Amino acid sequence: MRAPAAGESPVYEEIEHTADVGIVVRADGAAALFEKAALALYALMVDIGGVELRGDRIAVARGGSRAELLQAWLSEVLVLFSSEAFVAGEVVVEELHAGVVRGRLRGEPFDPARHEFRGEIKAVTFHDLTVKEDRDGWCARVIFDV
Amino acid sequence: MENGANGALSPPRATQVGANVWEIPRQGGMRVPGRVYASAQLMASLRDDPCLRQVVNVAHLPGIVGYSLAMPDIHWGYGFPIGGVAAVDAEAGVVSPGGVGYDINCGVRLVATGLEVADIDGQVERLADGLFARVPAGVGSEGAIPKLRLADERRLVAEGARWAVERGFGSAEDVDRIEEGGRLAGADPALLSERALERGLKQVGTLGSGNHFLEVDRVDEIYDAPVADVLGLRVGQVTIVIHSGSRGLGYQTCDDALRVMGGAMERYGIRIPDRQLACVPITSAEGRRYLAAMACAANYAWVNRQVMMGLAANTFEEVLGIGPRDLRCRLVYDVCHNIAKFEEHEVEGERRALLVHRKGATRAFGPGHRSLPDGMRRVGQPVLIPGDMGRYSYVLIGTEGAMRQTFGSTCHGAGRLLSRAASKRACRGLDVFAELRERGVIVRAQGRGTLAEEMPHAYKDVANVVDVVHDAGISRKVARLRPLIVIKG
Repeated sequence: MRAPAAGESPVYEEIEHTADVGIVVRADGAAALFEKAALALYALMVDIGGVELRGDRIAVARGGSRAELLQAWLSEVLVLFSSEAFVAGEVVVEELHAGVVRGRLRGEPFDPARHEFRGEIKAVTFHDLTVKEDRDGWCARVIFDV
Repeated sequence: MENGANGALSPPRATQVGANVWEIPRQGGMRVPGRVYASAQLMASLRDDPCLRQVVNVAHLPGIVGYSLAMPDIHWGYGFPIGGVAAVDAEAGVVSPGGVGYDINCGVRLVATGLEVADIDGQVERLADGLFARVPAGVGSEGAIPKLRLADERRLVAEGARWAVERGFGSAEDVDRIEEGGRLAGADPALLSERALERGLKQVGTLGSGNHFLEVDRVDEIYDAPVADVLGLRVGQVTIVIHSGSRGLGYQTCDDALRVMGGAMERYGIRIPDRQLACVPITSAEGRRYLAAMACAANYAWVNRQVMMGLAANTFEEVLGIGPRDLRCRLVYDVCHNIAKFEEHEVEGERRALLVHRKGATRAFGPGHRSLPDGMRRVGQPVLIPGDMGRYSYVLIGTEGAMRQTFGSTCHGAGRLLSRAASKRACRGLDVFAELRERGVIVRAQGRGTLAEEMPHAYKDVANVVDVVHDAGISRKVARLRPLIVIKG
């Protein structure tokens, strides 16, 4: 999944949380949900509309429940930014089954001159974390510490 | 999640038990009642807020003694409320990383200078540029110490603030003016994950973003002249305030611990209402390992603030063309407001060893406490309460009342009023830099988004919060500072 271009609607809704930042993400399938959530995390930190897909990274995460798996996945994605300053403009989940998710992120090194910085995210919290499937598709709710 | 904060249960009811004190009676699995320090006006604004449910959730922690406490800057956090204090028995209790937070030893330091406002007249813009250039935000950039190696990082997390002083940041006297002398005992670098070390490596001496800042202020008003005198504060003096924490190293250490504890809780038969409150017995292997890793992160945070203080002092000297003897830069005090510490307190007439979790709350030890440095022991511990960047910050002093009522704790800031999203909406079409300049505040920020989230309208007036703790006797007003320059990540 690619980051939406300028003018297109974002991949997430922001929750009104007083101190921190929360998102609700909806998708047709579980893989798309994980892709959207990763893009949402990047979009909260940096304007990813203009990210060039010059390099790639693989992220692998493990977790017991679906919610724990999403938390672990987003934490892996976050570390790519905070340790390597890598920003992704495209995320493709290549493997997703019980307890494991593996995805490929395409993007480039963060460049403050070209990528507008929006704010740091410290961590992906477990607070009110939900991942559920209903007749409308998949939905995740995540609160980040900022 | 049966007790989630998103409205599954009706908000708990609090009844007034003192002028600024409210109690949430024990119910369900609560081991102690909740107590909230707030004015009637603040309490009315909290009535339907999820944060009161979080006070109830914290009261479920095994070994908690007295009350699940909340300070008047309480707001909705993750797991613990921000502004929450929980003291647990040091033997029978649990340690909860969520009661410390991701930003372990996030805190504030106040630095005094020998300058008066007139001494920087006409230089304020240049000072702002210099500070913005010299003190990195640390986002996707090199830190202040570019060639730091992993071996250095392991040493600095073991040694704390002294490590920075030995490398030329600040002076040896500063170390005594930091809680725990800038080094929390028991730090074991071998217990940090590789990832935590990796995330911290390039961030020593960096501010971060969000509500972190470096400010140049002027002392605007003195409320308690004798105490201000002991602290070396006078009206018109230029001061520096730094608010930052343990950066990626701390965030990762908390995340690592939550993962371990989430799995371990069942083994210890612990049931709590929110996964983010994950905890284990203090004396368990997991508990001891977390506390040793947490101490490393706390020490990292003190190094971080010490380095930034040194960078700020160098900038002042360069921009003003003066030497250290003219600048007379000196640390007044450094407090942590996200930490768990072993302390002794009196509970129902008995001295007890406790582990006090302060999540968005500040230690406020009263006069005579043996942990305070010689020069200020007789007046009590300084407490630093940053407000929003357009109004003012406060210097308070710890009291005997705090020792009796709140395990020597008080508030830590203004507390948010608007969500970040709502604050940004309110800023649409507004030139936030010009808006603050109108108020006499020069701002430099890397991200306009962060600035819009952190505008004064997003916060409660810190004066209301400080008045509550002052009137409740859990700390006392000493001085007020007004911002001249604000550097944001």
